[in-house]
Amino acid sequence: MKDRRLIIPFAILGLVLVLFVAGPILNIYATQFIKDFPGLIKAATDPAVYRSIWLSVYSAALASLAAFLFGTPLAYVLARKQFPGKNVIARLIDLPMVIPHIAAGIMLYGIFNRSGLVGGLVNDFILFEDALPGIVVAMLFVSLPFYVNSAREGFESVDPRLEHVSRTLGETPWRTFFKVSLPLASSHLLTGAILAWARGISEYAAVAIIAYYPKTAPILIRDRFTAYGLSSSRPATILLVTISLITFILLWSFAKKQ
Amino acid sequence: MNRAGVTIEDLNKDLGDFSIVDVSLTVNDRDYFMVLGPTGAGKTILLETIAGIHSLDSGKIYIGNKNVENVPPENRNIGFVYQDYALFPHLTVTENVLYGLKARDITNPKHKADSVIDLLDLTHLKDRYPKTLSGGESQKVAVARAIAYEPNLLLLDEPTAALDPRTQESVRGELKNVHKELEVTTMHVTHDQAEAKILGNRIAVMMDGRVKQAGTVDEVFNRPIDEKTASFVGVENILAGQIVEQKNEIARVDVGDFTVTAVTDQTKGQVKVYIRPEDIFISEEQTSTTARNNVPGKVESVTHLGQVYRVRVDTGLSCFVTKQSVEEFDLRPGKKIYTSFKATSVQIR
Repeated sequence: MKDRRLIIPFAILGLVLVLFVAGPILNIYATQFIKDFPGLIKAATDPAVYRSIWLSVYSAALASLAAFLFGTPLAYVLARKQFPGKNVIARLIDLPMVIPHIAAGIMLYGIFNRSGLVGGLVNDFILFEDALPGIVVAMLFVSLPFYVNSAREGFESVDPRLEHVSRTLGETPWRTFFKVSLPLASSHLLTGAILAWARGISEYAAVAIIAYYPKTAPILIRDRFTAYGLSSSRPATILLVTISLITFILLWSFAKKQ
Repeated sequence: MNRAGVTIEDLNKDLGDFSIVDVSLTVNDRDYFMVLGPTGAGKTILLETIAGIHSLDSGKIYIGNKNVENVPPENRNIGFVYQDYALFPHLTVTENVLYGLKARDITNPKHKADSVIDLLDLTHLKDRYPKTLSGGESQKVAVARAIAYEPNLLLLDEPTAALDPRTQESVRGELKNVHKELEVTTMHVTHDQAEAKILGNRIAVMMDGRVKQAGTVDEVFNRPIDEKTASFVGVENILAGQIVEQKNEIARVDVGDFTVTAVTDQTKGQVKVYIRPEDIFISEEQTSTTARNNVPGKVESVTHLGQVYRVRVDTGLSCFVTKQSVEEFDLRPGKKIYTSFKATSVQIR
């Protein structure tokens, strides 16, 4: 017989955490469906709700795209090259994960407000305060570590000798990147982009500081909670959680495919 | 085909863990040139530096007559094959072979790819992805990919090291065949002295980042430059001795337990005596042959080495014999025998 003296207490302790995560999710769905199903339908057809959810989804996608455009080259350099200060840069990229997001919002606002270092410079073309670009920069800030780290891991998983062989076969460094490195790291890039997207959608604090309006879904939910309480904020919450869950399932199926 | 040799002058490259130091080599047009050395000797860096993957710290590399210092790898017209194949996992066999042809805008690439796939007997695997191929098949695809566009120079980095013995033999056969068919100048890195002997027409022995000796197979294997090289190329009998007599370029060398007769023009002094184990034969009695050396001794050990057995004798000599000889002469520890070898089989340094 197997000795289970260690495993059984560990499993019981672990189960506490599992229930801690699953419980609230199951509870909110159950409560809504049993107590107030019409409320969910009403929320789903409320233009303010689906506009805010769409805004969240759309802005987070733009933030992911920005992370892809700027983060991919950075991730490649971090994966392939040794240079002084490399570790400092890698840790710097991780910082948004540890900086309180309210603080991130304040710092970004300092740069991107109408008279800020960047906001002032591009004031005539782009407005960040209470506008879509503001939402995107806030989301980008909090989500970029997820993209860059995943992409870096992806490029590190590509054997550099494949790139060497591509060069000897007659391809330039650029074409080698697009024909070998990028396709072979693509699943990591996709995973990173989805993670960053999900992280962007969920951001409240940083976004609220720089662009309270137009309201993204988390801001709308917070608004309704403050004004009307739990039962009013719940339907929109369920819709947002559902979107996040679908995203997560997508991510999972990509990860499994690898 | 446009062919080219390689000339390397005073090449230095330090990569931290591995380095190459003051390497000078000449590889002639159409040579099958073996670079033989133990792991960590710097052989791979040497090939990668010739390919242009690493820049030089100092020195010069000429492919043909062209100094390639400022030529990027894609313009050196070389083929490169790595030990673990380095096939593009997201491309099929055909697409792997087409890669270099397309990169070079060669006309009718499909046709060229098909013919090289056929040359290496890979037609039945054309549409397969690398992860479904065996080691030997993968390596043949890697070779096909490297020769498809008819490079001036083929660089092979331990192409058989990851294969089982039987597959090694078959891949060696293919390499020999490719070299014969295409007459492409080839540099092949290996740590396997048997492979070096089978394939190469010329050999360089590399150790600790330096070329110890370069020359024909015969020169390197039969006249190794020093003890380390000798031991690496399979000269198992290295004895220290003193020349006690010299007459008409035949010397007698006292190696302690016995004296060795050798052909040498050295007349006196402390020397090293090299005898390859395959050049020594065993008899039960002192027979009269043309071998000038007959040394009595007792068998110390008999070790199975695959195709041959190594017999160690208490005189310090080792020799290779077949299984048949082991049985016929009943070779086992304690058995009294004679070891014989010709004076011309002895190298004196």
